[in-house]
Amino acid sequence: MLLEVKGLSVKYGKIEALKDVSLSVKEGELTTLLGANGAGKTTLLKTISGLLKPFAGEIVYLGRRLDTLPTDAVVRAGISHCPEGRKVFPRQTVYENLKIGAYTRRDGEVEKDIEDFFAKFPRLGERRNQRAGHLSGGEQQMLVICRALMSRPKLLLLDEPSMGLAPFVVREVFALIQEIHRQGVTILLVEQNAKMALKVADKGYILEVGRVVAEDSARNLLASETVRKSYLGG
Amino acid sequence: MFLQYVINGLSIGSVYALIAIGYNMVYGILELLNFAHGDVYAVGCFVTLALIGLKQHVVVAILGGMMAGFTINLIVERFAYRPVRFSGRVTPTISAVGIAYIMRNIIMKIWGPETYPFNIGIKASYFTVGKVVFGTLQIYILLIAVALMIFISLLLKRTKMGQAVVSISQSIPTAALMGIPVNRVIAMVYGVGAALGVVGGVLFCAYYESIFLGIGFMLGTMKAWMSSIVGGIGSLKGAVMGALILGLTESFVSGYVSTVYRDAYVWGVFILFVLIKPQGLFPAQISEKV
Repeated sequence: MLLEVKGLSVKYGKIEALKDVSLSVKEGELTTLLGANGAGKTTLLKTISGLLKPFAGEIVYLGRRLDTLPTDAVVRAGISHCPEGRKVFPRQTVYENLKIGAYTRRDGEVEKDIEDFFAKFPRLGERRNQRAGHLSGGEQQMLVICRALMSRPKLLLLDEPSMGLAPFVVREVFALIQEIHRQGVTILLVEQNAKMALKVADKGYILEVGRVVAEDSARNLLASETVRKSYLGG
Repeated sequence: MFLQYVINGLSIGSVYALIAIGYNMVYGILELLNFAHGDVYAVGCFVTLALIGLKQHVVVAILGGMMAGFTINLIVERFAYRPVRFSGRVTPTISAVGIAYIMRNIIMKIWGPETYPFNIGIKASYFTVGKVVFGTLQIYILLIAVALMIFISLLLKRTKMGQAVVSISQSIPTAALMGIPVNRVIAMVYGVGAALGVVGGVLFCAYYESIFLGIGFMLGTMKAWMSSIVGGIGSLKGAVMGALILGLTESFVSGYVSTVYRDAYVWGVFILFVLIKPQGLFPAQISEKV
């Protein structure tokens, strides 16, 4: 297992956002985390990346405890978290956004990686010297995913990458996620669009008010009657 | 005369700018009204005074003062600000006021309340171009201030550390997710801000050829605060433009209206400005497109 979450509880004051949550992410797989608003999906990702500290339980990554580390150490360990809501740095240029994504790297291939992304997404390349705040929603989403990849992570945490985007942009985002997956990056994907997420995922977990209520292969979840009723719109 | 006031205003304004940069950066990142800014760098200025008294070269003395300001702010950040960073906006402000008092009392204990002559070894000679009088010291102050501002803006734009600061000033959690050691970088901003403040303070004291206990709060924190509000919170450009406008306003008020009541008039203008444009002239654009 690349990542194991064991008996994790996280509290905001007195409110328990996660209750005894356990899950595991296998190297090379795309694992998806589904659930309604407020189920605790974002909380789980934030706890993995060290933005939140757990009340109980542990997170083990490559045999190492992660839950005691600050966020920058988590990133250096090879985990990149792309937060929900397209958090570009609006005052920095597209190029600067990508560059800062490589903050932890010491190798000489940063510029090459940036050019590769610009070649793949010409719309970003054309706007390389524009402020990221001026991009469209879809462009910003592509940018933050590329930025998260700039640290060359082993494990990518993606939070709601399709939120608020037009259907054709959503398809583009999912195509990118599949491509990243094919290149061997392990992915933990949080999504509201359960159907699309399960179609690209290997494994899925379902969270309800802070608890894991189902875990299975993505194929089985997609076929399951209860999942279909609650999350796939009948 | 008009041109003379412009020159005077710009040279004092550029000193305010050095003082305001560190203050405004911290404000931009943490929304902390750092009421200790002036008093921390005042300690650094007194260290410079002491080193000059010990017959050190003036450059060494200023560097020593900058080191002092830098170190003090690292310590203050670690023990007085970081523990209360997420306790709302009032608590850190009170913590800062406390630090201001501690710093002022340190100065009081060591140097007392007297005003000392302050001289950085530049002879106050003057020359005239047309009807405008230039002081050599004034020119030096302007050059040093402008050079430092260009240096800082290049640092922010071109270095990894600088870009990390710019990212942090937009979102601390997102910056952390880039692998930026946020606490370390924020401490650096405090440290560098104080060091720049020391240079500003030293130039200010050199301009008026004297130094006393009050330079920190009255002449430092308040001017930095006014500059930041006028220029716009959170950006280098805001701090610099606000400071230059403040310097020019002071110069014009002294020249055309009243020297004695200068500060009262300037505050009047300031209050009027805040009522009309509370966000400042060059607010950092932090609105994100949805």
